[in-house]
Amino acid sequence: MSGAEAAFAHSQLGIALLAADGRIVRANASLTTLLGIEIGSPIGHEAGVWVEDDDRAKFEAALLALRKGEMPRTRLTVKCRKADGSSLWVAVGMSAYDEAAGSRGIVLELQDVSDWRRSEDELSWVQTHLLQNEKMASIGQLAAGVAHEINNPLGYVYSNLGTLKNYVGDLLQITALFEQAAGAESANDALREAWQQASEKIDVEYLRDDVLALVSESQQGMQRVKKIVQDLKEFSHADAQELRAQADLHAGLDSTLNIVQNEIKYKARIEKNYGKLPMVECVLSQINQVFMNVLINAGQAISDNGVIRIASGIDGDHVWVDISDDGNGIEPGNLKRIFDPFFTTKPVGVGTGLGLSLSYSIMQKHHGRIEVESTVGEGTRFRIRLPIKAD
Amino acid sequence: MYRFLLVDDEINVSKALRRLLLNNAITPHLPEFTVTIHDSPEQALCWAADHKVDVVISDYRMPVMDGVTFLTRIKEVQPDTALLLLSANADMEGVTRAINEVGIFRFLSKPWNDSQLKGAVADALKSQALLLENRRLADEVRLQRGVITKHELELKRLEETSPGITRVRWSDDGGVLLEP
Repeated sequence: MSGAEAAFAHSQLGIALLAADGRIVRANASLTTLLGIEIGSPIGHEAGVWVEDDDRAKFEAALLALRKGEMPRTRLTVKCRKADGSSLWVAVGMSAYDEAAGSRGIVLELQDVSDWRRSEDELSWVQTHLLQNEKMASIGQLAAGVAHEINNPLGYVYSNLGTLKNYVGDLLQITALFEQAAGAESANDALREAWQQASEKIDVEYLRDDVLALVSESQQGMQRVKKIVQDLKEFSHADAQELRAQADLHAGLDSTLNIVQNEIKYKARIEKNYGKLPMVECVLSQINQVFMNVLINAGQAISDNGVIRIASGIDGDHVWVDISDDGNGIEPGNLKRIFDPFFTTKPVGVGTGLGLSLSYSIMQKHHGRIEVESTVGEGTRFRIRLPIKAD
Repeated sequence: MYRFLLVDDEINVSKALRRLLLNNAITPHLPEFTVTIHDSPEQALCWAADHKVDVVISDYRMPVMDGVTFLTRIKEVQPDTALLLLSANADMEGVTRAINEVGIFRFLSKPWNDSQLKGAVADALKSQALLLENRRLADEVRLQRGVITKHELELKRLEETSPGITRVRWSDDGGVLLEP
């Protein structure tokens, strides 16, 4: 056996030689082991058949580029399907060589990189979540400090607006009386004149209509500020001040559904597919808040005639609840930011941008997770995972 | 006529509270009263040394002296006053201290709900009236049984209307001190 033959036969890399027509002419033992197929069986097949559908186009495009001589070699990572149906990540090196005049062969070297890929995924998960946790911690601190400063002026402005509304009502009654008096037969000329002049200068009719509306609108504005500050305060309150208890998540889901039904029932129907869940140790009021935020978002993502599916089940020492909708879906660019405080795509006044970040923070304090998958035009799925026993 | 004392370092809070208390459009209605406002707890203490107060509503977080300390000292001079704490941040420590150390009547949070706040003041007056009525009856019984004298009862009454009047403070040189 020549050195080259020995290297081919004993290399730990899976190696295949492709003829000009793209079919495999030779493959070593490592390749067949890697793909879990019988020795000799790849011969005559195109290499692309072992590549998963999602990556095949990319794979074929690279082969084509090499064959055309656009580049001498390249390297890419694709997902491959083994003979037993399982899949693995493979780093593929591709090198073109001149087989005969005008005909280019290709050497493929395959290496299983599933383990690297997994740890890489894990690492990036940990990284984004560390970052997110840090964001949550700082928003909590900020909230505690800011809430006090805002609540003071908020307290008296809000209360004053209520009093102002009463005052204005009283003043309007008095002006009405005055107008009546000035318009009466018995009124003296000076009074009548004074009223006429004043009402010409000031558009009394308009003022009367507008002043109460003005106060009401201001009250609505303050109501919104109040809600935001309250939501913000929840961040610092989401700590373990409330006691955890054994709770029935299905009961929690059902009672939350009752609350949000008004927002949903005209647009979507609910399909429940509950599994069997044990009692879960948690602060149910907080978990319900998570359900509520996700359900309201699901409802808002649906324009009409949609379906919201709720499923649940056990996975080892965790339980999971899936809430999915067939609504608009989330743009990939936004998907990374949905848990960020104050991030919202809703129109002004509809959302505070704190619902999901608060949910995130609640799940984090429960040592659980909230995960999202979404495709634009198809819908969104949130998965909520909770440990059955708190630590 | 009842007297309410409002203490908050942010004077606009007290002003808004006064408006709210005086506004008859907001229920419940309160019996007749006057309102005194202070933006410094120390000044409020000086004032309370010789003015009878029925209800105190105090802020929690104030410079120099916090609300719990302030209410504790009010209670030393006027033990029968109903104490309410109004706070913008309900931290557990503050609430615990207010309840355990001072025995406040209500803990209210900012921003407050107008009718709830007024209701709390009305409730405070009611429970205080009950307490005082109880004590008056008990004193009457003691008087009948000869446990206390008319003189002692009168002193007690005086002390209730003008706190500190029955205790004379002497200075080192033998003079009588009028300021607390």
